[in-house]
Amino acid sequence: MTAPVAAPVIEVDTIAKSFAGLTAVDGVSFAVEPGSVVGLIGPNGSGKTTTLNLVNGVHAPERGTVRVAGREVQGRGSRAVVEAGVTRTFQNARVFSTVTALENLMVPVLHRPGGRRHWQRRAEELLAFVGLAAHRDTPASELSGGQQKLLEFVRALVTDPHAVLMDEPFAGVHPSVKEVMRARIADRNTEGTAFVIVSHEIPDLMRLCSRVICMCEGRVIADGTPAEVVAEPRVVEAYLGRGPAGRGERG
Amino acid sequence: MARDTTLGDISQDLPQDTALAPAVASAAAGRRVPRWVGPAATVAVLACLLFMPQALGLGGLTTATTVLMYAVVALGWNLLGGAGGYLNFGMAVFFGAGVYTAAALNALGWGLWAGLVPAVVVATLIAVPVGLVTLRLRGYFFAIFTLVLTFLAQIVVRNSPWLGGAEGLYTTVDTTGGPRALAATFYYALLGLVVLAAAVAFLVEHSTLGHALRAIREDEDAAVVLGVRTVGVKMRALLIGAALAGAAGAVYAFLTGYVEPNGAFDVSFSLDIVLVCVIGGLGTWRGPLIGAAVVVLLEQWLRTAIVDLGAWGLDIPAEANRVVLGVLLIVFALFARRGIAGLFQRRRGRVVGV
Ligand SMILES: Nc1ncnc2c1ncn2[C@@H]1O[C@H](COP(=O)(O)OP(=O)(O)OP(=O)(O)O)[C@@H](O)[C@H]1O
Ligand SMILES: [Mg+2]
Repeated sequence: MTAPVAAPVIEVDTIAKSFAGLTAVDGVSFAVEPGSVVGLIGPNGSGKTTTLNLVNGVHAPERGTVRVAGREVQGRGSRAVVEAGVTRTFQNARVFSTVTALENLMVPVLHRPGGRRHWQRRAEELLAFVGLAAHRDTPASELSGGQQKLLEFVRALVTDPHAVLMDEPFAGVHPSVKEVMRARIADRNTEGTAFVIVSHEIPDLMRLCSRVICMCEGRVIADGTPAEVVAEPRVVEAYLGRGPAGRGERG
Repeated sequence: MARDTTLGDISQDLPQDTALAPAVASAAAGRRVPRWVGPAATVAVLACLLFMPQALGLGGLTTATTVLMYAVVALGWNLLGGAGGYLNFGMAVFFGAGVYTAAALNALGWGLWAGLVPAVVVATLIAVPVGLVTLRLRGYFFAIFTLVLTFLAQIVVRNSPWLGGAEGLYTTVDTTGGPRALAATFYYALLGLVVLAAAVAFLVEHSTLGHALRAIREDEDAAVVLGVRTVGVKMRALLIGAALAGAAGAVYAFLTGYVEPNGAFDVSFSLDIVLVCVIGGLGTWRGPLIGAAVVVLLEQWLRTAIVDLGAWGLDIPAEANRVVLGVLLIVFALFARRGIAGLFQRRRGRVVGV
């Protein structure tokens, strides 16, 4: 008997997206295996956030396909992606500031069956998971920037997704919060949740990831283990050399 | 713009998280009112309201009834407008739908109580296509479209002979008890609706629908990304609001005795409702209750005050009261965004700048 081969949670095939003539993502392909942690690096403006937006359904790709758990979801909007089991966080935390931490976690489960009490218990567990239990009834605007990032992280976990896309989870947070974030991502990962993490904090990322994809000018220029990718001359050049000169530096 | 130059750059952190936490906690713990005060005050106010018709003269009772009518419609408006952040300048459409439904049925012999349910149904049904068209629009587009709807409704009714056209319709009520008893009937009908509307508003505020609406107001795109069916959520808020406005409209049809297109679908009524919520407090069930009293009483006072000024030889047009209300709207929008209700509540603000 052969063991069942688990299909990739996310399968991206030659997707592309341009904005007013500027090709932000240009034929990117990769797959995310269940329970893996994939790092996505690249200079500013290289198309990392746009790639997440394409996977997540914020944008529809101009060509190519996005599959979540085997189902094609491109062009079907964010809700289809969420329902297929992929959630996300944003580069700048987008918590709902006038509602409490607990209520923030209730927003993703609005249309889910199971009853309010069940979801509330789940939300309380998750707040405790990242050390925000005491802030259950605090409006999110009164949380610090780092706490908001943690809140946004657990908000992406409420629905028990197969994979979470995280855009810059370590940016602009205190090292102690960063450590909590890193440890909790690792905890969830051992329970089977896959992650795609965009980050410029390479050392933090390397400790988490089994695989790193490096993008430059909308294309994948390296894909492999952290050690392989860091040793790749094109990656070193992208970071130290030309960088994003002439691209993406609008405004 | 900072740009990465090395693979190991982690120097952009600021130690803000731990240092400011105690300050946040103490600010949040500030002066708090004991738990029983809220319910006790509600009961006391309700008791006073129940005895209002005995205590007030006919003029005062009419004013109180107007306050209640504004409160019902404003409570309905506040769900989508206050919690959801969608400025609906077309509340008069649903109100007018209730007015005309009740009046048209009255011509067939239906009374106030019998006409109430159909008025609610018609107002809600009209809100469905309105919602399907407008709720995909954002911001200014939504506001402008709803404003236009009021004029559209006027035109439709003016050209509908079976609704009395431009001449309008008369309603008749049983007046055997005398004017006082009749006034008290309208008062209690609207008081009942206010209690119902406030209860609905309270429940929505504390339900997942309320959270979803507030999420939409703050960041609709993020709500979509989290899987919220935003159009459906906004639609529910709009329908509940339309139903309440329709109910208030049904009572108004009998209260005025004569309905015509410009009176039933009145843009300045739509504006007043927005004003009531802004002044009273957006997105809280108490706000419209406070705001309705303030706006209606102020409007009446201004009207007599302007007449008094005329006696001193100052020739001020009667519409000047709208200028005062307009200024008030701007003042609240700029300096007291949470309205009068917000002044009594625990501050929920951005304590830590991010
Ligand atoms: N909504 C948009 N409209 C127009 N241009 C956009 C939009 N989103 C992204 N871009 C452009 O696409 C390019 C890629 O941007 P993207 O945000 O994906 O980069 P990134 O790799 O996430 O960069 P960073 O590290 O700075 O976050 C940039 O040139 C950017 O200006
Ligand atoms: Mg980015």
